[in-house]
Amino acid sequence: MTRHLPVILFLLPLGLAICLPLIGIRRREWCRPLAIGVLAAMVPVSFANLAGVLQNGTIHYDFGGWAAPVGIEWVADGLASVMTVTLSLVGLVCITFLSSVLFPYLGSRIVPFYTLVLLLIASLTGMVFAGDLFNLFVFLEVSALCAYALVGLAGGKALVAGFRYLILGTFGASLYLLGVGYLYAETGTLNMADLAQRVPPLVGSKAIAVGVLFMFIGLGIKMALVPLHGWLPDAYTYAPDRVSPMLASLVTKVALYGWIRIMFWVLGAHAVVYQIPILFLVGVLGAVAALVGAFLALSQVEIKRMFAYGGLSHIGLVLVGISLGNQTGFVGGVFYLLNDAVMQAGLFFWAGAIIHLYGVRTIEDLVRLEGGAGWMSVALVVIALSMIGIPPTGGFLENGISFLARWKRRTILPLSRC
Amino acid sequence: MAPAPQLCCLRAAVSVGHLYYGDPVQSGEKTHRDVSHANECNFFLVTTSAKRGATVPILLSTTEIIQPEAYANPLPHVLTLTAIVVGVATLGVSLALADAIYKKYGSLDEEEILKRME
Repeated sequence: MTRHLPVILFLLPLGLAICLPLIGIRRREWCRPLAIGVLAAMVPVSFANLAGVLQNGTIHYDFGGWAAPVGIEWVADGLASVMTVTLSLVGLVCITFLSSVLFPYLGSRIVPFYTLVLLLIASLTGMVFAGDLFNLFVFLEVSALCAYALVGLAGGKALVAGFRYLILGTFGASLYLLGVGYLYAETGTLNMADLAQRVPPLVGSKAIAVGVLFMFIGLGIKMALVPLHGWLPDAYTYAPDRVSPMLASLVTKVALYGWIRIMFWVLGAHAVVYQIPILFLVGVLGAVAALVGAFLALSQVEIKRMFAYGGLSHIGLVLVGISLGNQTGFVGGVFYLLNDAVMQAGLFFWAGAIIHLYGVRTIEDLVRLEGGAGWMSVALVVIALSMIGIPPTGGFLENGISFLARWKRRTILPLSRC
Repeated sequence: MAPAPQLCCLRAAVSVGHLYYGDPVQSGEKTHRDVSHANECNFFLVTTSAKRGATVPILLSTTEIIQPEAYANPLPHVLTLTAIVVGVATLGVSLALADAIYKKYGSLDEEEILKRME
């Protein structure tokens, strides 16, 4: 039974997403409880899956009974299982937040709206478990299509932001597909485990180098790595206040997860392509993203936009963590990835709530509150403490682990290792 | 096999450039052009299945031993088909967004829209 849990986890939201348009014809008011119910069901299933994986080791699920290099394979290892636990928990909170006050202007379109949200969750689950590069591409595109539509939902400026997101996102996906094509042409396989054996001897070839480059640029656009982040601030600022927590906390993080998966499980941690150690490159990119994102965030006046730019710098911090190349650094980076999914959701919940309750959109507007929003301030302080890494919060653990990793390498600066 | 990817990247870069820096041509076409670079990726993918002297991947006889080198590789065809479906879905969403933008701002010209957004 535990063998099937990853697929069940995927089929739960997908099944409802397919049934919902039919149910919605007669019973529009059922959409919300059904969607919440499915997400609530995903939480124990994902925990059961994690427990099963920890107990019995990695699950390799062959679809249709075809063995791995020929057939399509899903891999549920520790990392993927932890990722789905986060995904279902954050997803559940986000979907509850979605419906606390519904968009009055949506009317009967509430049905396709919930369908999109469920499809988004299903495709992100698919991306996490995907065991081959092409499967990853398909789920990447399904999740991106849902995200474009959800951004555009707010109307007005969000439409233009969503269209821009679509153009850049499609460009990124095309680059990724091109990269997959190169890798396939060179190795003749798409399965990640199979590629991991065939790529290292070929790592000096031009086709592999170009393919890897295209894939990384493509995924870089999807996860908004700093020089490629053009679509993100507008999209997350103008997206409906109730949708942006879900987009900000899950979509970019899962693209980053795809990057980690390819870097460590396909290329191998210490791959050197054209005399450039990949980890060094990732460390430089991460440091740049962390600094530039943070500086851009400081100069913003709009609250949601500031949080969106803050997210860019968090992506950079995760990359710095995993680029250290030892186990502690990897654990720190991945923990920060999970922690950041929760923090970004919290920040955008906060921004959405304060817009809804007090009509506050910019930093200057906050003055108007004059201390009248006690619990909101407490909430912000808690999230902020987690972001800077003060002891009782998750951020502290990440900073601690990350520092430990650098200490192990006898270096404090992330970049001085090469 | 060599020229296809370069051409593809060039076209993709050109189409994104047009969209970002404004294009005098009517923007309805822009949407179309954007999605067309995904199709060029598909052309590249499908070239990887070609073999000299091979035929379409349909078994000629069920009794003889199957010779893989006699047939073109069917996998890239399947990948391409999937990628085309993804491309169609993207085109659908982009047209819906472009339509909504037109209804809201009464134009599909990027500069005009930016002016009206102020």
